Amino acid sequence: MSCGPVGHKIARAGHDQDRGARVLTEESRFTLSVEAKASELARIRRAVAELARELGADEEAVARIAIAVGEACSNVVSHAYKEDEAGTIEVEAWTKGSDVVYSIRDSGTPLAQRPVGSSGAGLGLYLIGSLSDDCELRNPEQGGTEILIGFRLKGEDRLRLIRKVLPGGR
Amino acid sequence: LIGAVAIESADGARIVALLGEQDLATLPKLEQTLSKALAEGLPLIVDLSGVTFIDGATVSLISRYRGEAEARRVPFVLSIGEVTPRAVELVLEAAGCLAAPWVTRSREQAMIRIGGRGS
Repeated sequence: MSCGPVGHKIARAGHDQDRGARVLTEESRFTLSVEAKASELARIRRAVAELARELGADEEAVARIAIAVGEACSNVVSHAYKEDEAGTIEVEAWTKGSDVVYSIRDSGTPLAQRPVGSSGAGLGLYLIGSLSDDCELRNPEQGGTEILIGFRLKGEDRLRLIRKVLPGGR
Repeated sequence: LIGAVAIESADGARIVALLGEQDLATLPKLEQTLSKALAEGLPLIVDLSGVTFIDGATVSLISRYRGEAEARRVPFVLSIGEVTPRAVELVLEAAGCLAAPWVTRSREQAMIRIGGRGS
C-alpha cells in the first residue's frame, strides 16, 4: 500500500480559535465510537463527510474523505475481529492548519496479520493511499491497528477555511 | 438512501440494478443476486445509475463476476449512468473501470453492447 511515514505532518495539534466555523483542537477533537458492523458504515461516512463540510472542504474533498475513511472502517469490519467477536471502531479527527487528520482505530487482529486478497481489501487499501494526501499505519501498544489518514485542504478549500478562521476574513 | 439491489429483465437480458449506498452491508445481497443471474446464462447488465456511494469491496465483487461471465462466455456490461456522483466516479476510476471496454454510460448503450436492440 502507498501509505508512508508522515508523522510530522499528522502529529496531533490544535488550531487557532475561529469565529463560528468548527475548527477542532486537541481538546475539541471529533470522536465517534461504533460497533464494528457493516450496518454502521454509512453512518460513519455521513459523520466524517459532515465534519469535512463544516471544516470548509469542497465536495471533491468530502468525497475523498468519505471513501478513504469508509474503506479503513470496512477493513476493520471485514478483518479485525473474529466472526463471533464483538468489537468497536474508534474514529477521531483533528485539524492541523488546514490539514484534516482522521484516525481509525480498532483493538482486533493487527493489520499485518489479517488475510489479504478477499472482500476487496486490496482495492480498499489502494483507495486509502491514492485518495488521501498522507496515511500511516500504526500498531498501538495496547493492540489492534490505527490508520491515520491526512487530507490537505487545497485551493478553494484552504481559502474557505482561512476566511472562516481569520478575524475579518471574507 | 439505504442500499438496495433489484433484478429486472429486458430484451432477453438480466439487469441487476443497484440503488443508494453500496457497501459491506449490501454485499451479501448483491453477491446472491449476481450469482443467481449469472447461473441463468443470459446477457447481464449491472446498472449503477441509481447508486450514490460504492465501496471497493462492491467494485471488486462486480469485477470478479465480470471475470466469471467472461469465462462462461456470458455477455456482461457495467452501466455506470450518465451523471455519476463524484464519490462513485472516484472509486470506479481507481479500480480502472472508467476506461474498461465492458463499461458504458447508459443502459441503452449497454443493451447495444450485449447485442440487444436498446430501449
